[in-house]
Amino acid sequence: MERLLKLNRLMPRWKVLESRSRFLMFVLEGTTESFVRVLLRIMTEEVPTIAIHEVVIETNSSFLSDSFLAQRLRFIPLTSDLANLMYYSTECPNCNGRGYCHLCSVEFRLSAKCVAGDVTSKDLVTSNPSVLPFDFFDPTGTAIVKLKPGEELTLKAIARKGIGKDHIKWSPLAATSAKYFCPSDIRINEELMETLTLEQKKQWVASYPTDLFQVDPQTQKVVLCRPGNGYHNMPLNPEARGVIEVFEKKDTFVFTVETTGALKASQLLMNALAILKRKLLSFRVLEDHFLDHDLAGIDKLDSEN
Amino acid sequence: MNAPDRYERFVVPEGTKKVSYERDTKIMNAAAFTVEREDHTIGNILRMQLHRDPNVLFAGYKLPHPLQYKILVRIHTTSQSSPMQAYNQAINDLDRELDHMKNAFEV
Repeated sequence: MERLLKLNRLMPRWKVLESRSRFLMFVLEGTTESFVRVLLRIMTEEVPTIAIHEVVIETNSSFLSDSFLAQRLRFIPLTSDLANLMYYSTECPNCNGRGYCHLCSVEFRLSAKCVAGDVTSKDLVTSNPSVLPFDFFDPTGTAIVKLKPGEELTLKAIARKGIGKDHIKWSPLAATSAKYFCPSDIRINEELMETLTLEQKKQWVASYPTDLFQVDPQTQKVVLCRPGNGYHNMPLNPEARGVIEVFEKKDTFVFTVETTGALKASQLLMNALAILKRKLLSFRVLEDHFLDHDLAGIDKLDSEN
Repeated sequence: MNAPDRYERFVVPEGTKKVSYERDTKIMNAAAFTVEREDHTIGNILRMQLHRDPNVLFAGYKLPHPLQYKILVRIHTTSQSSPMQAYNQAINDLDRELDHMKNAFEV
């Protein structure tokens, strides 16, 4: 850990443990907590996605009030692979920031009249086929409202691009679904271990889950069978204190990400790295006069005095 | 009612520079950088990177107030370097680290 703090540049290593479309678990080795924390913050609040931002209700005779419906609609995750290509509505050059053109918005229409079953996210009709509710192709979508006989619902919804810092509906992560921990490892105190007889060693090994330690038949040493695994909840035999030591690997992080479905987990990670890079570059270039001013700092200080 | 607009947290207002720089008048080779519309995300990572630089004697950041969306990064270096140099070096190093991570992941 101290070694890491002195290095000028880190070269972290990845190892993907599990990858599904919405879920990613990986190990990041050789980095510091501050970096991992930053990665998590960027993922939660700075990666853009698309979400419903404006709802125009034409008829609503359901039991839910208009604002309640709008609230339910805006939290439906929409597939946001297009978000990198879309404009923020305030910055759109095509419509001067009005936010209704095809470059910065996607329109959804919903019209339902006492359908059998719920009105779900699958009833939303999109104007852009690549922006859909995340569960559009599932057998059941996300329920929006139930209608009684004779009730009717017609509405138009505008989805726009945004980031989680603006509103949580744009965050591609579910509330606590991104987390990390330092895995633990075990160190055997060889010196102390050697004071035990072979019989005692065997007894000692037997007191742990069967495959954790083994007595090496040739050298008669106790060895760890699954090095590098997490031993977080390992019950520590009180008599074993000093013989083995369980410690956290402070430079290794097991990171878990689960997205709402707006982005693929691996895509989210890549976007987060790209955004962090863009952010850093955005304040690297400074004006030349700063540089001159600074280089001449010492002389200037003298002349000021 | 008088809550600031949410976009103020990340949109740099017109006429404001993203980064401004103020040299310390009392200490040699010390300066404060103000980065507009950034928070702990950038502040922390930048500070940690500055700590790796052997020429940096002091590096720290603060978020002056939760409703002032800017960070102050203070850097004090030895005479071998300058705050500006250390600051740019830190960003370049971080940038290269990110490139490395990106390439390593895509393989």
